[in-house]
Amino acid sequence: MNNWENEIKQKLEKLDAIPERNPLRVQSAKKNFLSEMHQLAGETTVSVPGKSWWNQLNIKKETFSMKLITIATILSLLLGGGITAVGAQDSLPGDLLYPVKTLVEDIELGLATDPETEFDIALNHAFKRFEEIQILLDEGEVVGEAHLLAWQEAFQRALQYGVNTEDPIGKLLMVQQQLKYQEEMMNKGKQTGVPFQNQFERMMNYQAGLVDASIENPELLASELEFMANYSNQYGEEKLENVWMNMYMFGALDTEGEVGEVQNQGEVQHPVEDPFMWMHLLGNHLTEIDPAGLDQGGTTGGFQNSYNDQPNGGNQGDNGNGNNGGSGGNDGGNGGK
Amino acid sequence: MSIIEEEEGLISRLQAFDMSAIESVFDQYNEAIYRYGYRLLGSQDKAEECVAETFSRFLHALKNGKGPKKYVRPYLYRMAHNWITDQYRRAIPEDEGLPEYHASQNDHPEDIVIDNIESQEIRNVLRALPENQRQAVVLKFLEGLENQEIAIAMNKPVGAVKALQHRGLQTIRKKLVVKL
Repeated sequence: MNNWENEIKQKLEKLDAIPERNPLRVQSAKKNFLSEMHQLAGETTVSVPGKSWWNQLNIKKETFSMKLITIATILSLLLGGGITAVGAQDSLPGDLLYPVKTLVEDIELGLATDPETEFDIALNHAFKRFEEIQILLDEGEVVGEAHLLAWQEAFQRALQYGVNTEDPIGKLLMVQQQLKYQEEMMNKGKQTGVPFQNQFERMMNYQAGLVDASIENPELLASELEFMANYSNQYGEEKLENVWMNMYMFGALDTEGEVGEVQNQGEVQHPVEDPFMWMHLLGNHLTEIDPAGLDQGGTTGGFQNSYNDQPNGGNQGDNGNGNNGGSGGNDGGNGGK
Repeated sequence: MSIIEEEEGLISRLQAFDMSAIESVFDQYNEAIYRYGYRLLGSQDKAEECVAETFSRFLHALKNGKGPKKYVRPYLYRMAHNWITDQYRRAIPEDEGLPEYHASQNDHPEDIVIDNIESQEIRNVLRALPENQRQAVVLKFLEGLENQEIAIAMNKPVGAVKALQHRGLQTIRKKLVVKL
């Protein structure tokens, strides 16, 4: 081979420097590939609906019979219990008619047939949960964990429907706007003496951080929601919620500094330690998380070691639980030469 | 046993849309396709897109009774090549700016800058090559495929592939001389 040919080849070798692949994107690529493969094989990617909404996060296809049942239920409510259903709309958590209110909401969502409408309805429900919490706080009530989780559930449901629309970023921006409004309202309330419960503040901050990060990459949000759903499927909704509440209680999701701190020309920042924490906590292996171990130091340490998003960063694939997947090595996917 | 021989056993399972076989193909080659995409496009996002598009087309081809008839790897590279060529054809400026920054902590800033400039220079030269020459050169000298595999990927005789590689290197030489 001529010298000039060798020189050219050496120059071509410059292109051998490839930045390490983000393990989350490897995982996401594989997930999307498998999902498409199952769809083409004629299978749905949908799991069997369970009692928990977490289990239903990925359910996008409702059967005709389910629709019929839904229609029958709403008809019976309109004919037999219409007044009850209407009256329930102003009920608050703890009221006798409150379960009717949420049932009507479920039916409303169940009747929606396209992702855009589903998203609109889910976002509206999320706002209702916020209004309920606000009224309870105004009245000097302590808002229970169940209601806080219901607020979060409603938001994450809206996020799930949002990422399934044709314009996920547009929908996430809408969620972001609503969260900003809610934050403003809560901060106003704080100034007038209405308490902003720490846990709720942390929840809101976490949700805002998740939405901010998801606008940059909606695919990661889809994966994150799937990780939550898988965890709930494996260990039950109660355990999932236990992990959540322990995290909020101990502030394990906060970074240093004030939550919702006002910075940079009045723009509210959301210093969340890790918006995609489920993905990083669980890594490649679905293992049970011990909520008792989620004090600030323990969890933060775990996150710090969870992975490094920088292209050439270290600790790739280390989920903090000793499961070191290695760079780009999810599911044995480290092929090529 | 050569890579080609190993891959032959997969074909009948792939044609039957055997999902474990299909998944194993993804596991085996997604990283290679990512690297191929990155080398030619200089963007991690584009390289990920290249993986997604290549394997999506692969799935649809299998579902429609098409897909590789004998060898998997050259087939995937051909799909990836077609997608990358489409990207080139879209209104992208002839000379793109610097690629994404990537470096280890130990690199000196000036080395990083020089490396990135040189990489992009080569990438631009490759982009300007005639399509056949680019494919023959990249698959051989960057991806390390055997000429027999490249011939399958390009649907040309091995002799023609060698000729394209030679002409490709000459063209690169000329373009680099002009640029420098």
